[in-house]
Amino acid sequence: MNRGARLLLAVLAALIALLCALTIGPGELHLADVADVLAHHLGADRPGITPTAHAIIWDLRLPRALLAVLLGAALGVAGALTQGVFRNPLADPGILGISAGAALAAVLGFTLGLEALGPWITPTLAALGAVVMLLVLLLLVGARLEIATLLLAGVAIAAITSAITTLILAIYSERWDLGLRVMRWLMGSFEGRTWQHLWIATPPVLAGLALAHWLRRDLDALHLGADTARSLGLDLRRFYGLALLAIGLLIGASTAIAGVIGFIGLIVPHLARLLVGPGHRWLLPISGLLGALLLLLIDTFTRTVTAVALPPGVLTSLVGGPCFLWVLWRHQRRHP
Amino acid sequence: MAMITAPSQRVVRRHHRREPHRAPGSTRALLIALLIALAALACRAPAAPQAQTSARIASQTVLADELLWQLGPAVRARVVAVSPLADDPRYSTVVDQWPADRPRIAGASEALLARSPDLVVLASFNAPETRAFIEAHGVRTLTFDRFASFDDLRGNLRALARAADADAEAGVLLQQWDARLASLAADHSRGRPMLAISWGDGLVAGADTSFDAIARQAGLRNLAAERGLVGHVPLGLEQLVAWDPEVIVLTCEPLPCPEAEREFAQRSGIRATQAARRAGIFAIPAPELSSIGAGMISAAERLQARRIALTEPP
Repeated sequence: MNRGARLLLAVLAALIALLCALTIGPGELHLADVADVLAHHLGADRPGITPTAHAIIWDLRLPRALLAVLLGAALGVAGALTQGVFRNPLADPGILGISAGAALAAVLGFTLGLEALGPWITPTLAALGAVVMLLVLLLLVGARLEIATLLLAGVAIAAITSAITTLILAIYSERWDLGLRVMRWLMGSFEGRTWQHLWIATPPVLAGLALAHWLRRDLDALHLGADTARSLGLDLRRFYGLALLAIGLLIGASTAIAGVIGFIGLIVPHLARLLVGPGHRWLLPISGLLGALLLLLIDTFTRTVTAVALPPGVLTSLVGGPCFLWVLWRHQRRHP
Repeated sequence: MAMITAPSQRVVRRHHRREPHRAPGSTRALLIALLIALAALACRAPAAPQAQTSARIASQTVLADELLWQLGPAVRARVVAVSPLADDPRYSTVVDQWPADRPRIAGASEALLARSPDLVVLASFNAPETRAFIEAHGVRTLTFDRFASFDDLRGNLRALARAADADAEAGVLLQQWDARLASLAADHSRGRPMLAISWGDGLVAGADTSFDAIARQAGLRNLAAERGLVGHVPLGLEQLVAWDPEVIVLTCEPLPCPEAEREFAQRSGIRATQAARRAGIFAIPAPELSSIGAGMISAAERLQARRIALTEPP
């Protein structure tokens, strides 16, 4: 099977998963109900739709499923991009400290009770945190923008921001509701996300995806080594700056909207490489599709397996961990 | 049931061992000086209480802050410290009532021991280290560990009254509570029972929670408990909408109660529920809904009044 066919198969799988996500869940709704609600919004007359069915499918499930697709794609592409930039298969988008910065800003908002001002406050604060972290990172690495400095500065920023988050929780340990909110946000969730969240997330994610796609040839050149890439005419400083911006947009937006969702960015590029090899022309779109598919399936599972709302961020780690071990084992068998 | 624990025997036991080696002269002198200093400090430390009546009571939980206040002036005068939550308007019904000279002290700390309490009131959700720390310093503790019913509330009050030698004051308080609960029970037949669910921060209260007791006392059926949920459980919004409750109970804060009800009724998904369409969103003050003290009775009174107003024929 060629790469195009594999890409098409991944698109089909994502569409089927989307349909499943809309049909499965509380309320005993069927495919016909889903079709009726969608047809109603496309202008067809469907008088039999109950308010509950409409609310569940249109107000809750559809924006949530689309958000899982969008943010899964963002995390998958951000992972492939990060591993390409650092030329390290263990690099995770979280390594740059951008998601930790977003998390810190959101936790500050919870501590000050700002989320009471509206549902848009936490995503806005988290996005601001991601942007500030990105600027701090650029300031720290300076004009030379060396990869080692970038990595070390990212690790340091992530450590500092995580420590401040923990410090805030320690200071306000008496406020159990704060601890609960922060913990649930840090575990990542699509619970209560609406069309409004989808509209907030779409522009930065699309910009990040477009930028990543634009950098695909530079990533392939870098895959041959920094010196070779330079000899091929790649301006490394400009490339690192743009790649950092793309990762910031993708990770910042996803953390701002859904909290911290781990492991998608680490494991998905490995699965994508198994399907289409290391070339970024195919690796980036397949990583996006697999990220979308994986996150959508995980969210559907956590939403439907029990009445208790499970955080998908925990399940991504539970699923991702063994997958990653399998990839390592496979790598060791091939390269003893 | 609340539990009273005596100070650990380890505190008063002394172990003497012979030194295996002779220390040099200067070191020996230093050790002797250190021992003398420690002995002097030990003499200053509070002795373990001999009597069971507590003269100096410290509270480490908001339930005790409330109960000690309600037991009246004689008991209040013996309180030497309260918990920081006593002044938190989201949890406490005695905000700003305790005078400023009763320090608000959190957790096991030197500040708490410095108040020389002979009884510290805790809850089972306080850290075990806190209780161990307090008992290791020879202080009696009383631990509340049941909070899910009005019987638990009565039991906690009686245990506190026993420990604080305030049985008479507790008797009066219990009479008042029982009269209010009887009045609530008498009105159960008015209107009709409604299916209700509590909602806060994505959590619902199932069986074995204070909300379950409040709801039943208010003539409501707790939907989460009927669906088999126990304790406080995170529930998906989609599941809540699919269950379609007649009443959704939430806290008002930080908005005024009517505004909180309006805002919640307009949320995505929620606006399709029976509760939102038929004025069944009941917002009540947070300290009452989250109360495990007398606020539970106030919450039940509010909910019953709303239920009757909604279901009783005019």
